[in-house]
Amino acid sequence: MRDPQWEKLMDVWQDSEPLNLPDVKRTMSRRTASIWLLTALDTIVTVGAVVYAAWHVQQNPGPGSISLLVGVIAFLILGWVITLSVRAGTWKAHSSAPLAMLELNIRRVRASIRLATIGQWAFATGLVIGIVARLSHWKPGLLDVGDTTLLVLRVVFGLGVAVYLYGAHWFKKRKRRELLWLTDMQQQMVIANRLE
Amino acid sequence: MDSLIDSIAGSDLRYHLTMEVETFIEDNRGALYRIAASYEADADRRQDLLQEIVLAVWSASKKFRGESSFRTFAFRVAHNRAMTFVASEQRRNAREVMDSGAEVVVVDAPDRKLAREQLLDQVRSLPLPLRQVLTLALEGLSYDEIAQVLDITRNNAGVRLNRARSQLKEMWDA
Repeated sequence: MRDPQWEKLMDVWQDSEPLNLPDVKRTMSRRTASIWLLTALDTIVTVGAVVYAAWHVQQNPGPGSISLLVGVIAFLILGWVITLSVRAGTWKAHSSAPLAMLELNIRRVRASIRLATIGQWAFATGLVIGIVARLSHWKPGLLDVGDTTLLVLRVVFGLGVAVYLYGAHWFKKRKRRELLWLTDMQQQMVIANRLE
Repeated sequence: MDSLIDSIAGSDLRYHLTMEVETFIEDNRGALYRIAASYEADADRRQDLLQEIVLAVWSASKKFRGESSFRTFAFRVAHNRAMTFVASEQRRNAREVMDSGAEVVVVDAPDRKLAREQLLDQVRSLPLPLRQVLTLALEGLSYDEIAQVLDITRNNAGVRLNRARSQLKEMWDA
């Protein structure tokens, strides 16, 4: 293994630029703080939405209010699952053997693609139900509010669904590319592991 | 009582581990930078990757059980983090990086920085299983240590390294 050419190569290789470690540490602190901030905001929004929906049910008991509560909880659970799966990147099993880690990542990416598809179907179904309800002049009891508020809610819901559907499409496209790379590397590793 | 002692011992171990991680990062920052550079050609994203690697080493250190040296453990984490980083890279894929710059090697070039960058380009152009073994060997790890990092046999590490070196040599001769 040791020959003059190799030694020279090692010499060139190890002669790297100095790294600004304090800079790295500062960035890491900022990132950690932003992750905690996002988690705190998620928690506040979740708790707030559930409390509001529960209060609404109590004030206006009826099937519409209960549907709202169930819908809000289902939406938040979906949101949390997506958020957690995205943030799972910060605690991935990087200490595992490389091949095992690749396999774990492949499973994770496949699961996130499936999850995004389920979300797309759920939102599309919600949109269809909303449109049918509107066309059939069915006014659910949950929204005993003025016409303007109702219009705003419909616009926000419609936009939310559109944004989610596009976002999920983009996310899946990106994840498919990631999956392609990971499976390619997995195959390379499996072949390379057979070399003796 | 036992649990109290365990708890104190545990916190003591964690304290020493934290110190060990700090010392490791301080002593091996060049090596961590080179691992990042062997995966990422773009300077800005390389810096991002380096931060991800340092963060991953910190986070994973809680799982360190002393079954190997901390160095081999941390190198494994660094390579794994680099792989997941490249996988999630959006703007281009590994193939494009691989094709980016395997032209000439000028190990004897007067400009060492240029020589280093050229060497990095060539290392990046190697297939991943060979590249990982080569970069670890260039850091001075033995066959056994390389095998530990990558969870492969010693023979496999040797074969991969020989192939990597001959591919590198082909690039020089081209």
